[in-house]
Amino acid sequence: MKKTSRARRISAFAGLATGSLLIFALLGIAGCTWPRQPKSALARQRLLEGVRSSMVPVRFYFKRDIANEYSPQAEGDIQERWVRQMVEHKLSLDLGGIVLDQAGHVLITDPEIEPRLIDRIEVSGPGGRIYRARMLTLLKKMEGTILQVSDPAGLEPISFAPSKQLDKFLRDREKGAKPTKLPSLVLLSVYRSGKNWRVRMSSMASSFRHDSTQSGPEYLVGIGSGRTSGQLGGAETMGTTPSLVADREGNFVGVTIRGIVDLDQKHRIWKGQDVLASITGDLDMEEFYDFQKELQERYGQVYHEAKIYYRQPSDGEYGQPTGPERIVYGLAVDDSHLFVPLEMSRREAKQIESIRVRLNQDDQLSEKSADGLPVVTGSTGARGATCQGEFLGTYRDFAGFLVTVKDARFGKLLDLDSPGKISKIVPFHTIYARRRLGEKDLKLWYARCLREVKGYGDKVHLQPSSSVPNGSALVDLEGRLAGFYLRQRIPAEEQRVMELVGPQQSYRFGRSGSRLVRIFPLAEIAGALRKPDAALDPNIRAMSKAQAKRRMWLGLEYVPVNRELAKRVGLERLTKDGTVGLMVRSVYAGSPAEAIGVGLGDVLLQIKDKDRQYPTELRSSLASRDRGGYGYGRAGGTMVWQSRRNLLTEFLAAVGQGKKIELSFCSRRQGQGWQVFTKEVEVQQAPLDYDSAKKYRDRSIGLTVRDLTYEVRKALKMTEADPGVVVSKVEEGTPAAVAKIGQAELITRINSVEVSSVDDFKARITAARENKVDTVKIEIVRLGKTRVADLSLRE
Amino acid sequence: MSKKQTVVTVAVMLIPFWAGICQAQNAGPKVPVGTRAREYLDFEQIIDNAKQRVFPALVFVKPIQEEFGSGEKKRAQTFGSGVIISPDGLVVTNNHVAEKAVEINCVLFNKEQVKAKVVGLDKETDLALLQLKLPENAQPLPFGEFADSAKVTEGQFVMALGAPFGFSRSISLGIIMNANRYLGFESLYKYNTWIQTDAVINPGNSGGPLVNTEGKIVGINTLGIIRGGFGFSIPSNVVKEIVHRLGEDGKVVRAWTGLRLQALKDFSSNTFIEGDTGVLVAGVEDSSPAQAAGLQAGDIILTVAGVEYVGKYVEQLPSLYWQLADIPPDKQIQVSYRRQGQVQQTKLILALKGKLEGEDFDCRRWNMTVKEISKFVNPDLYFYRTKGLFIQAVRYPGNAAKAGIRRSDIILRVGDNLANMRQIDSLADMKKTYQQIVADETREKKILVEILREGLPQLIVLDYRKDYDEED
Repeated sequence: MKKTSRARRISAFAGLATGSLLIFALLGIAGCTWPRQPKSALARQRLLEGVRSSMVPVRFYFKRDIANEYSPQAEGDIQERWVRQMVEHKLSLDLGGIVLDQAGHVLITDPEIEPRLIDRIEVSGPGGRIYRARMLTLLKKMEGTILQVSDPAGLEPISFAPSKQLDKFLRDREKGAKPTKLPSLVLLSVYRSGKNWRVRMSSMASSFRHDSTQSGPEYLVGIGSGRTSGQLGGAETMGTTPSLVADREGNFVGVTIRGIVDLDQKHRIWKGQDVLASITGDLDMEEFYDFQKELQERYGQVYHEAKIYYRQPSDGEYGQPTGPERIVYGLAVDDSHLFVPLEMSRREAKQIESIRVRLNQDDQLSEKSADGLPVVTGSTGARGATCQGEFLGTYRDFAGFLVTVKDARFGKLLDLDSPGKISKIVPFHTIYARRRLGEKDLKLWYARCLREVKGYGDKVHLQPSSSVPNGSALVDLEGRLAGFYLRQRIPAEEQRVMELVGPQQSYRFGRSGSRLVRIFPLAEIAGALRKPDAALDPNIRAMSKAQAKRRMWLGLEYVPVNRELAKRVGLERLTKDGTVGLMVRSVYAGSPAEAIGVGLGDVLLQIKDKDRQYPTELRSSLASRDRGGYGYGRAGGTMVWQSRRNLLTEFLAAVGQGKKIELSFCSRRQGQGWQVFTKEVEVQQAPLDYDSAKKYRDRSIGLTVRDLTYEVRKALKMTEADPGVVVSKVEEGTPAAVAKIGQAELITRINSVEVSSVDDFKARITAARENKVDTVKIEIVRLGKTRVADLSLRE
Repeated sequence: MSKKQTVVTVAVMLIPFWAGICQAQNAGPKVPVGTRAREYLDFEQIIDNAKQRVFPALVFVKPIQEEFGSGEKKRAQTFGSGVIISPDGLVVTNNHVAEKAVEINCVLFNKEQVKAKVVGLDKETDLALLQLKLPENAQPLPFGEFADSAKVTEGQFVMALGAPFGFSRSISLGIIMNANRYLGFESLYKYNTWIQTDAVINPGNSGGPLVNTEGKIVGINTLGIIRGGFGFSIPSNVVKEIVHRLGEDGKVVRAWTGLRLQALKDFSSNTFIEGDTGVLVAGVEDSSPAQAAGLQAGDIILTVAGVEYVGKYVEQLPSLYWQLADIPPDKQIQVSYRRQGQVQQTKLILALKGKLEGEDFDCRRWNMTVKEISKFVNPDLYFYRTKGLFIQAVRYPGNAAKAGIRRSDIILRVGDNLANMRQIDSLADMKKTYQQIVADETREKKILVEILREGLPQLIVLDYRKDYDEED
């Protein structure tokens, strides 16, 4: 035999077939019954022959679309990245196809690859002949695509034959008649192993449902979703191959992709005749892509670009949630609200400084504001004018937020009233808006939901098979919005994150409370989009700069407990061997902690948000990370007071102002041993602290001073009445530096008169300048030691 | 050695403060340069003569000192220099050479080693007076004479005699760079200005004499600058006075006012105050006599007990501090000062300046040394606690270090458990507690220590089961 590829293939098939026959024969001799295998060796032989001739390897060769490629750093396009790797590694994708008819129609599993990334498709026919093919039809009720082979002469199509037993069963079932015996079907699938393709034959079993309301099974399932594989960076690249369904008489009755036979034929087609009928009846590939272009146009009118500018948090804040700005795309849900289907965390929201929304050309601008002035400014070029936006809030139940536009009305709105529908198997369009080449760009693609998965709160949802970017809009085949693909938010998300990783971690994306991303059907969220007030998370708000710096407080300083200490002081049990617990070092006067009786040396154990089922333990390992404070010398070398930014204040902020919590702590003041107290306390905003204190920066002196706040006064043993401002920054080479003023030192007097506040300081300096005074005498205090210096006011 | 280096480092750190200081004083003798040059023709001869007069009086001082700075009490032989100033064997050296010495050996010019005892120490000027223990009917010793340091001027040739890095009997030659240098010290060493010379002064030169061409002592070499090529000496007039007092009383008694002075023309912070007389009060320490007298920062002191105070430039401050320190304590004196243009009077009763520096104690099993808090030496710690002890050092590796105890932590309480914590207010408390705990071999070798760190209390468990000394 000539060693052609075909010959190898045939020999492989034949070898496998012989092997299988041998096994069946052996089983037969042993008297073992194998209930649903073909009845006779002849039937088996016929089936194997049929598979061998009608199943053809299909090979996809890829190309990179350089003209249209996105940078790998930009918003991820997983498919593109995958193709890029395939090209770099000189890999093609092998799929198995089934020749359906003489006209050269070949069924393959939906490859879900954009045509622009496909270089060519090759089908290997008998005799090693290579046929070129193109994608013709996207099937609606099967996750398959029909290829059209050009010049198909020589291909051997599968021939489906009617099966009496099966047809009767299906007819009876349709009529709702008493269930009869399940038809015996076998599944034949091929899979690639090295250079060879092999056939696997298995019987089909029935599925069952626990909560079945209908009689009889819904599906028949077989092992044998054939897989093909290749090597890609150590990982296997796989495609799924359709399998053939046959009866025990040796007739091919249908074809299935994941080895599933839908007995009701509700979601999936599988019968040979149905598949053949779909070749031209389903979605023509070219029309499908044309329609996507139309959708791109249509939805482009409701998508708007919003540029969010952030304040850069000062040293006193944890991390940097974002860069200086972020560009997002939202959909106009009514004439003044933009729904952005993306994350916006509390920490990020509070740093929003401003939002500019770019209008599309159809949007109307209100020409005059209430006081009669024209209000819209900015470029009115081809990209449309911009107008001011405001952050309204993040939804409580899903990761999306609303932006309100001021002084403008959107022209085209999202249709919330006639929602589209997403059903199993049927493809739907996905729209993801992103910025590309400086412009708004809608990426359109499609996905299917093949299965249902259980999500938050035991609810079952349809799950897209391929990777749909978070925040995509989902549109049905008629072009109606059917829903969004969003992250499910769960109550007290930020608290949950903090319990695990502490307050330092930035969790703009990903590290959020839940990783559950699911389809939110429009019907479920339309109400919230129309009337957002009750659906928004009250703790995620935009804030003024001053407000954003404010903290919540219990009003104490602490050190985390450790194992040794817990053992020594007899707190092993209460602090779980020192893994939980913060030992109080200081309690501020007038604080909530003082009010509920927390004292020096007490150990805080846990905080329970009253809306949550379980308390949050104050884990010492999380607290031990928050060190930091302010003091003398460069970078606060000698610490004088602790930063009020710590695990507790951050956690309380995550709980939210005004909420009731139960604080558990243990104390040994009363009686001998430790006693646990649980007190209810409301989360309160702390008085101004060093980070949020009013400050005044005088550039010509090179000095920034702040008001004395409670924690600074306590650290320096000062009373409320003691005068002074605290130096927060001295710039080098300036009069302040020449006068040897240092960070964290106090300025208590100017020209022997007490300085009461930053306002007072500013007024006095300003007055002195106005009076043409060149220098003032200031009194500087450092840890109770005073000295006097001349401060030059000259430029 | 290490002590010396700390002093040296202090000087290095102070360099920026001198920059730009304008020298105002020092009107040297107005002798025409030409005439003088002709008088001293044989330079080598002159140097040799001068050397002959003081070199025999030079002493190589080898004290065995106790130090606690590494987290444990250590004895180490260090070295320094000294000069004999009387035929019966009085030797002047630095305080930092002689302090905490358990034994002092001196090598004389004739290569004889004799023991010496401390007559008196004055930490605040860094001077010490030793008495050589000579055999009976010993020959009178050669000794150096003091010059009048007020007459020292810049440019004069001087020699530094001493034992740099332990190389005994070394001479280096240089000139006076500045005869009246103010170094900006605020607690120690604030009572005198300094003679700055480029005659090389290295560790080991400490306590040695700086000698002029006449063979007289113009200063005692005290501070050097590492790799700076120059150093600082205590002027002989200050040395004479301190030596006198040490000889009389074995100590120098000073009064405490609690005043911190600042020059009227302070070039370092560019602060200038009108007027040529008086001195600015930079600050007044809490609960000090000056505070009791109602003085406050910004006042300008004009006279004290009828004596006019002139602190126009920083170089004048040391002598004012000296004058204040010399006022007899517990006697009411009149102070006149100017506040916001008004001249006012007040009565000041000075207190005796108490112990300057606290004592150390080595908690050896815990691998840490503790020291008493002193308002003069540790004002930052004194702010947080006016009594008690702080961690002077922890030994690495060691039990205290492992437990997380750090330098400058203030010790509040020590005990087995929360119920029996003992308050630590003094060195005696600590010694007693430490000895009791360590002596008890049956107990679990873990104690609870309450410290004050950054002003806030904190509990630390000190596990001393491991004996690091055993491991050595």
